[in-house]
Amino acid sequence: MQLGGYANHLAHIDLTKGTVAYSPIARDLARKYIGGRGLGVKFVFDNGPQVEALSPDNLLCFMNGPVTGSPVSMSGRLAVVTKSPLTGTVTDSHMGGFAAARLRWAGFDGLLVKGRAAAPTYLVAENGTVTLHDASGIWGLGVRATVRALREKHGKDASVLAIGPAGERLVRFAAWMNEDDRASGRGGTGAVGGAKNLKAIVIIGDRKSQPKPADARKAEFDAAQKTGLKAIMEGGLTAPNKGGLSVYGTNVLTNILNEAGAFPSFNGRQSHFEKGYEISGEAFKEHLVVKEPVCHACPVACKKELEVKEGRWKVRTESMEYETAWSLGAMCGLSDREPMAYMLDQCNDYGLDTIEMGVTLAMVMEASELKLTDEVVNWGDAEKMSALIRATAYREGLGDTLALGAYGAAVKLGNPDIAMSVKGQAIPAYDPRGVQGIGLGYATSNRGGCHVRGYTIASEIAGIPFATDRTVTEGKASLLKIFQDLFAFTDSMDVCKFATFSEGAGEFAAQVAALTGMAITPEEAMKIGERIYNLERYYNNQNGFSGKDDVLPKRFLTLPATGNSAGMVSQLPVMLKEYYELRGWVDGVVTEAKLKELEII
Amino acid sequence: MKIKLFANLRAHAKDGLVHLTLPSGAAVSDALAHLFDRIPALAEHVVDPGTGELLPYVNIMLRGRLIRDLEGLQTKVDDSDELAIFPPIAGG
Repeated sequence: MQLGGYANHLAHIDLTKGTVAYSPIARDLARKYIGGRGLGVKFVFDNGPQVEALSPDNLLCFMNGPVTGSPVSMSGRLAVVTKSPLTGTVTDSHMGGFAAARLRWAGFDGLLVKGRAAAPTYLVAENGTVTLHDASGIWGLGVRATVRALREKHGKDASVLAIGPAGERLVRFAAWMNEDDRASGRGGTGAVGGAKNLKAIVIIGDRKSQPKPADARKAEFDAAQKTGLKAIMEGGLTAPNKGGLSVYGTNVLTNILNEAGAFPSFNGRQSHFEKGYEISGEAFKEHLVVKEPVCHACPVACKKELEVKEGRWKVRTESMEYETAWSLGAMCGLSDREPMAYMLDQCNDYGLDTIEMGVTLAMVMEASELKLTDEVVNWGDAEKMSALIRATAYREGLGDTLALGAYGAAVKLGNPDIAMSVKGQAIPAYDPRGVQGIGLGYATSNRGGCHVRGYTIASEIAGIPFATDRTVTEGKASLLKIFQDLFAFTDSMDVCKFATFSEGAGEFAAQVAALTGMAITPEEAMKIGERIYNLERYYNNQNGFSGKDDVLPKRFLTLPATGNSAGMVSQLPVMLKEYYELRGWVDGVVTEAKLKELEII
Repeated sequence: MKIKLFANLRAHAKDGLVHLTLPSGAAVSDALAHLFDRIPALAEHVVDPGTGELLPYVNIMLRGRLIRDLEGLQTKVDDSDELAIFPPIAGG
């Protein structure tokens, strides 16, 4: 019996040979890994963990999940999965907008790219067929110009995934961007594209090809979809035009984290930013927000488009997320909104991860203070920051060092301790001294410093699905494991993280079951998530990662926090011991027994 | 004491700040009562009119600690304290 939801169609593109082959999705793999992140990780694992990230042999997967592009709420996420050139781990990074939905409507569950083209190339995916095209005319262009050129040629309704100058030059945190400024930012997946001479992917798909359940399950699917939508529409945190996320965007978090003293500033030497309000969602909404775009099947509209109407920093761009406001703002000691908007736009057009860029700039500011650089880079110097962002994308001067990311650059400058990174990837905007559980999340993330592997902030700050005390360590290991396993499942569907603010494993499992026909219970959904998390860990173990890498920057363990978390440090070792016991891992390594229990081997 | 209002609550006070004088031994619930006396329109965004309990996902911090992790609405406050009130918010 054919599974519902899936296109049951994967494209295998070999850029070296210039060939495209197609295959269905093996039913047992769909059942075990669902799609999106899970199936992508499985493909990357099967490609061989020891592959060099920027070599032709690395596999670059653009993945949908079984609900992508369907009426399921917030089902517009596209996962880019590969081995990261930034961390050396497996990585997956998800973008919003409409590209994922169009990829499904074009007839694909995923595009699996290997090899290296002899000359710059772009792909066109349409009607279940992928074709290769010469990209020499667009190589060197920024993301926006690339999108414009390809839409002129292939139609204004096409989605375009593209790398910018940063990806072409193998900047280790280069992103894949799409026509809506949405990014697969983390982990340097754009550099993997650059290494393959792959500039862009044009996706042409029509909503008429939206996935539908089998006739026998239509009523079940409609009910599951409506239940999920109702939860989002009425949810305290997600309700359109009511919840803070919808009204102010993700940057509504700045003030509450800053009030808690859990908002790293000045490269994490402090955990409170005196001018935090100036860079908050409230302030951006009052001064610069001009539009509130959406993604496929999303009623929340958390994206916030900005415009600086005139002057040095004149720009129109989206979206000033919490993470970006923090990395380019508080971490660098900058509180001027207009240059921040401009720099966000630079990152979008060059194709750079804004988190890594901001944290790298903060690192080099501290390095400058420590006389580790020839150039002077002062805290909060917007002109210098903007110049260094460009230099990073084009790998010029000091920018060539910064292109290695915060950790790689700090090593090169002679002091790795000033990189606020885990496994070589910059941490995001929550201070692990003031919020204990998220620190455990950073340390044990399988893709390096990351908040969306296990977003314990939902519990420790927002109070969902149940409230925990941000200052204590008790119970944080089990809390984190729940989040990590659930998110591994939802990333494989692939739905937006914010759906989890109002829906749980029950709703998600019901949506997948009704659409695909696979009888997945909430318990099995969590088990699938656990399987994916362990497969990622197993991949990393085979690359030499173990407990020695499940660490935080020394600063968070030794330098007391400031503001309303004054005196606190991370109690990581206590939580880590309990976490390993719950996972059944030995010093961060998956055991053979656990691999067998989860049917990974 | 100083009360800081955030997100859509800010519109109810200049710069989102309200200064109150409370009797000694007051609790967060007393501070809220004074606040709602001063700005009645705020109450419906913060507490359930029937029970007087905080609405779901409304968070109040006392010197950066969520009062749900302290003594809730019975947490003692004094004149030098700062309370921060947040409507339901989330992000990532």
